[in-house]
Amino acid sequence: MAQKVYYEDVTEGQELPTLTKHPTRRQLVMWAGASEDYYEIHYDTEFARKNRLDDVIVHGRLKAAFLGQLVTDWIGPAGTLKKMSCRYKGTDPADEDMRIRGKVTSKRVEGDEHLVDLDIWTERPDGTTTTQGTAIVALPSRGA
Amino acid sequence: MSERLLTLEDMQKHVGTEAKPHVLHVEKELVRRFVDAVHDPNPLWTDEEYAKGTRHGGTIVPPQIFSAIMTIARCSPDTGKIPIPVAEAPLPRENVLEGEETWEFFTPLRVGDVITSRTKLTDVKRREGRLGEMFILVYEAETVNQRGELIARSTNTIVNY
Repeated sequence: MAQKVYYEDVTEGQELPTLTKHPTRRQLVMWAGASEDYYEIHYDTEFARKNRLDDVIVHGRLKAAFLGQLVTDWIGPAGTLKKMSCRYKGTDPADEDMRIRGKVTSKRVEGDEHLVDLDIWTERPDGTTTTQGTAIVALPSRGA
Repeated sequence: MSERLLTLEDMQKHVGTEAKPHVLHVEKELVRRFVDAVHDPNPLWTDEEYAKGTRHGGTIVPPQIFSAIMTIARCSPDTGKIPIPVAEAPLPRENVLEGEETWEFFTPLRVGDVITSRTKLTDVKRREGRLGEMFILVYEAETVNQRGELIARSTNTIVNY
């Protein structure tokens, strides 16, 4: 996997390649194990309903990990993820497609760093944004 | 024990409470379980041969593993207990939803590192929302490695209702 993206190639408004996920209940259980988050709203339907939810929901932090994957896939081994934020706006049921998307909002040189600002988000199949975030990455420069 | 629900004023007394420092050994299996759960096949995380050829000179741990580590750092192995960042400060209500988070990354994390996270409750607010009365709790954490180098700084907001 050679470096695919350099600072000079990036333009404002450019979209990152969309990552498509389909978090199954099995994947939620794997995440529960990996993160030691055993809160029952993520695997126990009855428990979720008692918490005023329709059914089990995808862990917010699994969505954050998906956003991290989106960004680190795009920046490649020569890029650096410097900062990432996200807000969990809506819940996502298990067993449906989720699109993980991103877009370049600005680029700037600070000191010797070539920085790019991104909007990043997750979407349900009907287009509802359920996680909204931003990221700052440093990219390699062709001039460096 | 009183049945009275905790108020915003009660909660404000807990602002500044710090959790006991949490130490985590970053083992290869921790990373494997993370990338398997996320389905993240990036070879920079697990393929030593590939990673040797990058500027890192070897694999690094995906920075986004902090989304999992933050939960691991909350010592709540018991079933039925909600993982909260600072167990030393109470939650005023029963149910928890993750609200918002920010991570800033510094020195890359490597397998074999032993990291220490210090987390503090830094703000509590109360408001009416779609789930009725809600408390918004803000926690801030700093993580350093065994050499004292700053690895990550994070802010985490939870919704308690």
